[in-house]
Amino acid sequence: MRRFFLVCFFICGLCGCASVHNDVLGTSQSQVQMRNYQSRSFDTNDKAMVMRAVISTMQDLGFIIDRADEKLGIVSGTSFSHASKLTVSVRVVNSKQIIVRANAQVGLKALEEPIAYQNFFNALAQSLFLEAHEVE
Amino acid sequence: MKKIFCLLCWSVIVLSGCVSYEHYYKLDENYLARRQLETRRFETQNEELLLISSAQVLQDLGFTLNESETKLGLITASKDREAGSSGEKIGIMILAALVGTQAVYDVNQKIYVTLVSTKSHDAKGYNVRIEFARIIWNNFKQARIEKIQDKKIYTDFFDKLSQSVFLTAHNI
Repeated sequence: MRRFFLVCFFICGLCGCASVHNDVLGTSQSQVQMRNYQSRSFDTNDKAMVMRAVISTMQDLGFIIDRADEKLGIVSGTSFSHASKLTVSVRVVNSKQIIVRANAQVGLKALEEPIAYQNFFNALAQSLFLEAHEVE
Repeated sequence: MKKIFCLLCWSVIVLSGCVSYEHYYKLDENYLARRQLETRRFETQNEELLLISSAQVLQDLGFTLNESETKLGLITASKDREAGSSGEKIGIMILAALVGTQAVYDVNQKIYVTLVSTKSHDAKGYNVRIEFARIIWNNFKQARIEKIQDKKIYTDFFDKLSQSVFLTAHNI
């Protein structure tokens, strides 16, 4: 009987570990897949200009800006209307290109719908007057 | 009974599968009007002065500054305040007592501000854009969130900012 409880306890412990592991590190898609639809490159090397355009676009989309860091190239915001949080990172890859990556969560779930990111990059491209290229 | 339960499960599954993300992060038709309401141009080349003046106005209005990134021209701030007037609450309580229901009224609120300055397109001045939003809690601790779109609030804020730019420039 004691052994039975010990086994039950051990199994419960394992289940707990699996769940926490999934919550912390789990994704439903591969890193490459996600980066593909969450990133776009723009033909410019003006990081500050792109970051200001990101902020402006997020404001146009109804986001409240929570924080921004020019050095790290990060802007985070919250949208009350969509109950979502969005973080956008901007990084210079070479003298001619900048990669912008966005990732969002809606409610308690990660947003994994490429169409939503497509909409965001369309709005950003409009604000930048630049064409958004898919990142290979 | 089993049939109804199965039907219910099926409809829940279908409905949860129907969540559409197509409208997410899409610009709506009012975004330019909103941008215009929230933005004012200032004829100055001194962005630092503009940001200092903005922070001063926010302090005048009782906001606590949460975040600032001067290289991007960003300031965020917030303040906690009581929501609704006492008269309004008394009115709701009387009405609820007459009808025989529980009175629901707003108790407190947190007001958020995001302020961003950007160089104007002709590079001769700076545009300051401000957004106000708030979370309101009622006496049942339920929260609702709203963006503040009252034109007068934005006009009054920019009037105060114009005054602050002058005062700050003259070290007042």
